[in-house]
Amino acid sequence: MKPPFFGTKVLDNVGFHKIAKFIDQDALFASRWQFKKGQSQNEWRQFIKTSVLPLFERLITRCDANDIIAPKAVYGYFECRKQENALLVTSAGKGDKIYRFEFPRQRQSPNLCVSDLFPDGFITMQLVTVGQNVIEEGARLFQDKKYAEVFYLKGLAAECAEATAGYCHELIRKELNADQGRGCRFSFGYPSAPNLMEQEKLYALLEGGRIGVGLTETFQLVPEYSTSAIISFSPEAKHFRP
Amino acid sequence: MEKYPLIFDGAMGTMIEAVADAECNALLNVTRPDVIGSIHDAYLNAGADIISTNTFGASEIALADYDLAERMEEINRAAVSIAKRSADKFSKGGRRCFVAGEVGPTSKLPTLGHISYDEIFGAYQRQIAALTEAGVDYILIPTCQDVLQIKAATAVPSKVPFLVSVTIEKNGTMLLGTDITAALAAVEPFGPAAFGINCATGPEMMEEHIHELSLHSPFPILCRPNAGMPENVGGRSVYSLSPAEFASRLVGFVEQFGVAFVGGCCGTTPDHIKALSGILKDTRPLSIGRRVPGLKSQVSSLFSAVALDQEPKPFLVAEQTNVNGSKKFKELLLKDDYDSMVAMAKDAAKGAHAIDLCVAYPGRDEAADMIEVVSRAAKGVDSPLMIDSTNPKVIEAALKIAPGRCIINSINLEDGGARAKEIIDLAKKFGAALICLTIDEDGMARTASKKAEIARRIYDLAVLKGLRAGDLIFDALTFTVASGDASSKDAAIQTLGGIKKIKKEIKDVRTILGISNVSFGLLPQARSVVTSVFLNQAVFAGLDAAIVNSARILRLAEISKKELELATRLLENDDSKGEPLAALIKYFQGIVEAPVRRGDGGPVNGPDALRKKIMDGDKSGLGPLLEDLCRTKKPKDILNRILLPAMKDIGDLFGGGKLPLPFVLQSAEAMRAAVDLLAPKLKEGEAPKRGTIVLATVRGDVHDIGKNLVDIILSNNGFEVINLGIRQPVSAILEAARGNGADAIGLSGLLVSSTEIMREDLQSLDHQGISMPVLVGGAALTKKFTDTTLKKSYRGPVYYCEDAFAGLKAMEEITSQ
Repeated sequence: MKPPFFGTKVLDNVGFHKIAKFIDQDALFASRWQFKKGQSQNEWRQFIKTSVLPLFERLITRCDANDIIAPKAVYGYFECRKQENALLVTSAGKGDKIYRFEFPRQRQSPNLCVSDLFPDGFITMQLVTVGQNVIEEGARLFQDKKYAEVFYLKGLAAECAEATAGYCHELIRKELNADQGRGCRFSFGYPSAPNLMEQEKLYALLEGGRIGVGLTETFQLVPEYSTSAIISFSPEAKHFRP
Repeated sequence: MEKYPLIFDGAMGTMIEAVADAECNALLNVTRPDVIGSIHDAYLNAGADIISTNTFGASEIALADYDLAERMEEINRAAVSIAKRSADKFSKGGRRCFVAGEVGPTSKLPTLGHISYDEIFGAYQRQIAALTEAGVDYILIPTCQDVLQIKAATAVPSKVPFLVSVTIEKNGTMLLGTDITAALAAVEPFGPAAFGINCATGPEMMEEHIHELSLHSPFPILCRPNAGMPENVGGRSVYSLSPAEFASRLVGFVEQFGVAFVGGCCGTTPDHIKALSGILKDTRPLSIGRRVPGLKSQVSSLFSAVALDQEPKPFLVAEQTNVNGSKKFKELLLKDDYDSMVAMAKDAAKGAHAIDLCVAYPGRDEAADMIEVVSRAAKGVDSPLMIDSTNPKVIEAALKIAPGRCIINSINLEDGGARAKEIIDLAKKFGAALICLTIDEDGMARTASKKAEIARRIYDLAVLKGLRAGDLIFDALTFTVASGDASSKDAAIQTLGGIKKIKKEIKDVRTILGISNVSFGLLPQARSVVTSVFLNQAVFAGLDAAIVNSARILRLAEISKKELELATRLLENDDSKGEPLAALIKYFQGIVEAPVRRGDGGPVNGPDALRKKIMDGDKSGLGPLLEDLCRTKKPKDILNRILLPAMKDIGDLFGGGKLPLPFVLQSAEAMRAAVDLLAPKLKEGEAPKRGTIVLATVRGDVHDIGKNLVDIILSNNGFEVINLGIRQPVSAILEAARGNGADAIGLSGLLVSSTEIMREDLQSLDHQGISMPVLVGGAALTKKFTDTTLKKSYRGPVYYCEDAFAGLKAMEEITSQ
């Protein structure tokens, strides 16, 4: 498997319609919006159809039309080399700086470690955001005391950030001519790559400021509804607990 | 004709008291003409240009108190002849002295129902006729306390000019609460020769009102103060202002504000007038005619006036109080529940500049219903009234009891103009503005040119009968663009064209539209958008006023680009991208409101209804419901016994896993709305102040859903919440806690790294010797970590809050200690 290029690419205006089909409605309705409260399967389906889907349609129409959700992405391919539990990633271009990413290795068999998952000598990284507008819209609605609406909007924004990540992942998969459904995204702060500090290096490699994303003192992405990942296209790649 | 300023005389009553002990002052015109004549002479001698007849209490209503009503004409004639004799005596050598026939207010206030409009109008008509026939130069209508009384007096047709003067009490309004601009608005259509103030206070307290008049009144200003504020000395009113002080104040008004008629009221004597004329003789003529006030066309309630030209446009008229438009209003009418109708009017008035009142319902007595509603609304709603009826009898009944300047809705030429003429006369008699619909014998005008043509016909008719262009408001009519009917596709275009033509071709008239007709037949969401876009277009075309429910109007900024485009295409009949109506309907299908779990039925009134609204998260109708409850319950009890327990039950349902979070939030919204409505009614000290918390998402963390939820729940429960936002360093949190005298700090954060920041923050607070309670919460935070790590890092109490309701419990515990 070979990357189409080394370096980064900015998608400044992804377009809401492109990410819409990546929205995981079940996750949005049941957990983000917390509507699932022990209803039977039938009751749940009925409730979704009569009450929740219309709300969802209204919200996405509004968010799209007013650019409240304005997805942007930056992704890149970089040379990388494994060194036991670490990956040494070389920035493409000037300076060729080397960044060292550390990952924990499972103590018990099969002793998995993320650093094992990049056998082809390159690594793919992405950083996406739905932008600042939704934060401002949320603050305005909160001021107007439209609490439920803020809650819906933020849930949707979080899911749209995931959907944008899904869209970007799919785009990369196609560029790599990888099989349908291939590739596993590892985000920092989650069990397989728990150290959020490593996000600073990814951010530096992708120059996240170009899509309006920043980092906080504790390495969280701002604005809130942004997410990053390294992607492995190794057939062995999967999420695991250390 | 005169050189301003003209000097009026001073008090008549004060002078009579000094020389005679009469039961009825007016009767002295017949029994002691010598006494009255000598008072006039004294004032003329002092330099007065105008003397007022001793007829303040000589209307048949006032004379009836002394059983002298039938001698009204005799007494008034006698008074005029005494005054004229004195005036003639002093009119020599180039000096001209005038007689003003005084028409007092009587002690009966028509707005309060002491006397009917017809009675007081009749009494004024006869007194004014007697005075005029006897040869007065002016009719003076002084000491007015009720605007409806002024309107009755000034409506009397008179050959001589009349001067109107109101009495502004110490509190800054007339007796019934009318401010000076509202009085001006009501009297303006009658075109007095002067308008001003007399009695109640000395000149110093009149200054701000005189200033106001100098800016806004198109009429010469009259000012006759008392000789200072009366002081009660041994049961007698004593006025302390010396002639010199009095004169210098008034001359100041002449110079500063261009006051044209000056004189005195209670407590003033010929010495005061002499001091006044002494100064003014040297300064006359002053250039007071040069005052160019910005005349605004206004309508008014009993209390205040509203300009018809709003900036930004339009003037909004609430349509909710119309039985044809509001089901609720109609149902209340059918139950004869006039008080609730007025409560609705009060509510509607909040989002509008005036309210449209229509009670025409087949089978009911429209005039009687109108009287019930208007009599209550006149005193209870601070909003100008639009009297909406096609029946002249109903309109007249309403105008006879509505104190302010009203708008009549409406006339048309459907019958060729007979009815319109009748209503135009009413507008003239009561000084009302008048809405004119572009309807003629052929029906409602549909094309722009037909609309303008009918408007011109009505204009000619109205002006011929004495109305002014500024009194007329033309409704170019609008029809729905949503009927799918080919003939109405350009309805909006024709209406806008009509507005433009009317504004261009007829000078100084205004336009109005019942704007929501344009979207009749569409779903509510689509209606709001189309109506709002059309309103914007209409204002651009020159529309001055709109009859609308302002709650249904969206700001353009609230309308998405797509919605704006679809609505514009429909209104402009633009089918270049396909049939616009179909496109709009298709778009709005499926766009519905958020899910509500509003059960049907249940109580509509009382505490249970309020509880249900909170539990259901239903904000609608909270205003009237609370108003209603407040009649029987203390606001404090409504809060503590209905609202807070309902919210507690919501918390329990949520905690028990029975209620999804969005529904909790909807209940919180309803609670918030109820608390906001209740807040102004709570007495000082009753507003719940249960404690203050400073809330923040910790340094480095950008997440705020949880923290904001805590904010919502705590503030709904009467806690003051200082919500600092996300990414807050501990220094900022501490500073806010100190600055606001907080009882507790709340730290929130989503990720594991934030729990570490919480530990650092607590340590830092501990090092600074802080020990106030700290609430902690967040998705990655556990009770175990709180107990084992956080509590050990901090000397004060640390509360682990699993959710917002746990936060509430913690705050209740903290503040009850």
